[in-house]
Amino acid sequence: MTSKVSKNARAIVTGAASGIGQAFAIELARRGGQVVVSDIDMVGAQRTVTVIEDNGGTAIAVHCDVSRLDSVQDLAAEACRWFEGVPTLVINNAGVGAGGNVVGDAPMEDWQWTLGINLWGPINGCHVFAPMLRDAAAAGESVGIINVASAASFGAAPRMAAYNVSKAGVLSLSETLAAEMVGTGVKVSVLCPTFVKTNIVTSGRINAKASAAASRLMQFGMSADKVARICLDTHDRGGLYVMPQIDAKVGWQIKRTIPHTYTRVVGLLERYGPLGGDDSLPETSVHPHPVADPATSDKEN
Amino acid sequence: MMPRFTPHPPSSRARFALWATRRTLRPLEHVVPDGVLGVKVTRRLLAGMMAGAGTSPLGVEVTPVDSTTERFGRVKGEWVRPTTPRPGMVVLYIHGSGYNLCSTKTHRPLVSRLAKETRVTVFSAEYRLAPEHPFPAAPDDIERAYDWLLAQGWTADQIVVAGDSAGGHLTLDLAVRLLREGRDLPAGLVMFSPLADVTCSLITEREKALPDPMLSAAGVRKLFAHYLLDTDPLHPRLTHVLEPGEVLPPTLIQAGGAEFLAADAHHIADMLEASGTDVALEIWPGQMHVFQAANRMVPEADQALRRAAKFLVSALQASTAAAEAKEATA
Repeated sequence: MTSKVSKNARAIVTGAASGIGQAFAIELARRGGQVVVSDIDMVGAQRTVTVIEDNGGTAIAVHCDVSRLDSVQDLAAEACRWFEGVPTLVINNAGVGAGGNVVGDAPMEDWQWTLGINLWGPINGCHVFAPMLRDAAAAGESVGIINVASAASFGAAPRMAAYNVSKAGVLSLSETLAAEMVGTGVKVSVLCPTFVKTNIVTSGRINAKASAAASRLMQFGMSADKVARICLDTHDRGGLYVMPQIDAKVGWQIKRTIPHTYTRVVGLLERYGPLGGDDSLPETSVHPHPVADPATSDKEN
Repeated sequence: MMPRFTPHPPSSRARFALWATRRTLRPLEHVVPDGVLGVKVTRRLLAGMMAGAGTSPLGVEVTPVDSTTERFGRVKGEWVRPTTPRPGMVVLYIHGSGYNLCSTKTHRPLVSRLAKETRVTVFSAEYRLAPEHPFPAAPDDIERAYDWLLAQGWTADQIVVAGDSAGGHLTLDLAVRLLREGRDLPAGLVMFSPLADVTCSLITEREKALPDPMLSAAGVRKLFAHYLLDTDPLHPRLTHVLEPGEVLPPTLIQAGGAEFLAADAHHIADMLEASGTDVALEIWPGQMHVFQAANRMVPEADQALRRAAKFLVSALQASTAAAEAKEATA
């Protein structure tokens, strides 16, 4: 049997200057891999490389804007030069947080920004790297690809439509890729965490109130390095869906069993629950648009 | 001179020590109370731990010093003498403390091993600690100890200043102070896991990437708060900024790859290099804070200490040789 993908990998991790990506990069280096640490934040990427080198690992920082295909192609070229070969593990991790506004209020620029990084990033990554990985697998190497989605990909939580849509796209992309890769030897996994202790809330485009609420939840989150470890182990075992936390697993089951009730409860919880009750409901919105009177609009939610 | 440092993977004992520390010591931080009581509890805890982690070598003589003179005020510390000390050489050792903890006693095994390995007499200086004595008590005491050493008949070129953790920060402070006062500089500097940034932003960034197995950035910040009180952490004696051309003596910096002050070690090395100082940085993969002290737990402790000893002796030999040559031509 072939060896584990995460051991001694030639790995590329996007968005590895912080958070889960940084944790992936450090863990892969610990497992003996050569790691291309890519990000638009080169200071942070270099910091990740320093941490890896300080502990005897091998890494290089490469600039990449995952929302642009040419930038991802440059990343691939740079990585192949450095590896003196093709990558064996690609982690499409780069992602941003956006939210706080309901559909119709969220600025279109936020939609474009979010989908550009969160959805087009993995699309570009899969487009560029899938053929390389298929060839490497054909040559007998243990190879794989991990896309970082989110429990939001099926959770459909209100006020974060752009994020949810982007992550649902990543989930679908990964499932499709997994189906296409059956029998090729290329392992495909999609990571769907809930709350992880990272800076995604504070560094993204999330309004102040929602950001404060999310930060409160983040502190109960799992640590990024634990998420990365669990994900790599699941990937090695060939698991497609990686849900490192119990709340993601439970949410996934409920959503699949009673989707209609799930959506209603989530909507009501957001409105009347401990984190809800806020100032930017549609009727007080700055962009007036026709809505039914509040009583019926509640029911429709 | 020194053979090049090639980082190698941590030994299995070091990996076990890291794993065990993360599971036993780190959770203790949640139990230790805040404030002065917490500092007192931690002092006890740390003294016990350090006694367990390191061993004291035979054949090293320790003589306490507590001298109060009109000229220098009170100087406390201890002479740590190997059996056959090299003549005309001395080390001023500044123990680590987080500016709150430890003493010459807790660091006696480490200092004794250094004295034995180098065969150089060490003066291990005691300095006042927070919360009882905030900034600038510590750097003032260290400067007094240095002046006192000079008054004992040593010259700057016969002295190497060495320190760990906050002691490394004090080592840097002393060297920068001497430089800016236009005084003679010591023969060399040795820093184990030195602190550079008292605002803790380097520690915080490092923690996000790789949490220290012993303590959190929040815990460190609490300790420093006792020391800083209302002083601006960007005070020139707390945050040292070297201008290009401000050249310090040859310096060796060692730190652990897994520890909270690794980024600080990088910072000092980068700054010294930019200023034109001859500096060597060794980050030991997978090692913890001041791992040189834990020779009972990790084999790398003795390996690193031996390298530091070699550096220290050659720096002293080079500087005394240069001083003799200067005397001969004069």
